[in-house]
Amino acid sequence: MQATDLSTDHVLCLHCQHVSKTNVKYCPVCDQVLHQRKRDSYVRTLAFTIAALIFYIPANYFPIMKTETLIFYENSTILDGIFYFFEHGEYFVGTVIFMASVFVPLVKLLVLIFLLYSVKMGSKWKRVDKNQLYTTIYIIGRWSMLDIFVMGIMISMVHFGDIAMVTLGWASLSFATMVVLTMFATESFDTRLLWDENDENE
Amino acid sequence: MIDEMKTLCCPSCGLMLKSEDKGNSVKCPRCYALVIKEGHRLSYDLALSIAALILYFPAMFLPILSYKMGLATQTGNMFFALKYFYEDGYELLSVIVFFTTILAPFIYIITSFLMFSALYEKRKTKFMNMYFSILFYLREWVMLDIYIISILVSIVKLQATADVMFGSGLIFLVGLSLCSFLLSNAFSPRKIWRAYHASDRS
Ligand SMILES: [Zn+2]
Ligand SMILES: [Zn+2]
Repeated sequence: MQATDLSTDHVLCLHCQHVSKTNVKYCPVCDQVLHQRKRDSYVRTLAFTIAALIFYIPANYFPIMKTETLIFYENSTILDGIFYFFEHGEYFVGTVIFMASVFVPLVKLLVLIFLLYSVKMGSKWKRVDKNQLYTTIYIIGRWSMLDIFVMGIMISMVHFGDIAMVTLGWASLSFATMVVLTMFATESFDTRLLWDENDENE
Repeated sequence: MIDEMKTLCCPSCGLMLKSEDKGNSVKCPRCYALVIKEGHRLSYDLALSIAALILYFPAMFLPILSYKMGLATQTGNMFFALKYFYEDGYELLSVIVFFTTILAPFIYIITSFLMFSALYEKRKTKFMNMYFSILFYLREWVMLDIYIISILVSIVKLQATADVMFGSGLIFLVGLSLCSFLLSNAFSPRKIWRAYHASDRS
């Protein structure tokens, strides 16, 4: 077995990367409280993931944007918006929005569930790849906010009183909440739990 | 203090490592995560934060796009969007958008400037801990890069119906987003704390 911070009684400060002995309570370099693992990582990640999953459903089901002009009124969901781009030949933008709003959040949640399951099972299968997977969702996760910003700009641009108006649907709030929750969930997860020996989890 | 920073521990799997300390980046042999990221010189971060500070105000307050429909012209930036979000009863959403595109970038840039100028001049500061924590936690909530892409998507979306013109704020915004991206990419906790403790010895 290789020497880890647990087996050698060390503790790493995640802020400044200084390594101390476990009897040290506060990091001597940056004064942070020291913990060998992120506190309650498993439970927190699980809670945020479940909460995000709950918000994922209304975010995709209900209309996210309402377009009103003199001649028509339209309620559209996230998927309607994506279909619109594809119908009009804007394949690139359609793909970008699809990735950011539908694919990334879902993949992120599935990866988190998979990682939590691996921790629970103490699985040693492909741990390097799991770490890589975590890093990936950590980096791409925030891009889900893209659609919210697009709607913000659309609303501020298309605001002509009675002639043409774009307003928000209820799903936009669920969507933004879901994205924020997945960011918290990712933040709470500690990849070291994947590497610790079984009896050391929790 | 600096001499003690020689023992290393992988933040993503907990493996203990020995550092050769040549100022290079170090990768973990077990999980291949980046253990140490050596940043640029302090003057690089300082220069970027000054540039970002200068670009911030024109980027935020000048119009970004204008949109022509019939005789009416609408000029927009994120502040208008927030106003409409708020009026439509989506207070929480406007808070999220305000935070990620306007407030967080501002706090991040100001804090970077204060911290890096103190480190650069080897000035003692009581607030070092606060500065560092702000940068550490705020980093992924600065979403200017996503904001830029969302503007591009909106342009494509709006072009179908009417003329879209670039506002003068857009060029500043692109510059700001680039500076803040480079700034947050150069963030290296080890370098920052090393510089801080070097300054209290001399
Ligand atoms: Zn520390
Ligand atoms: Zn490692």
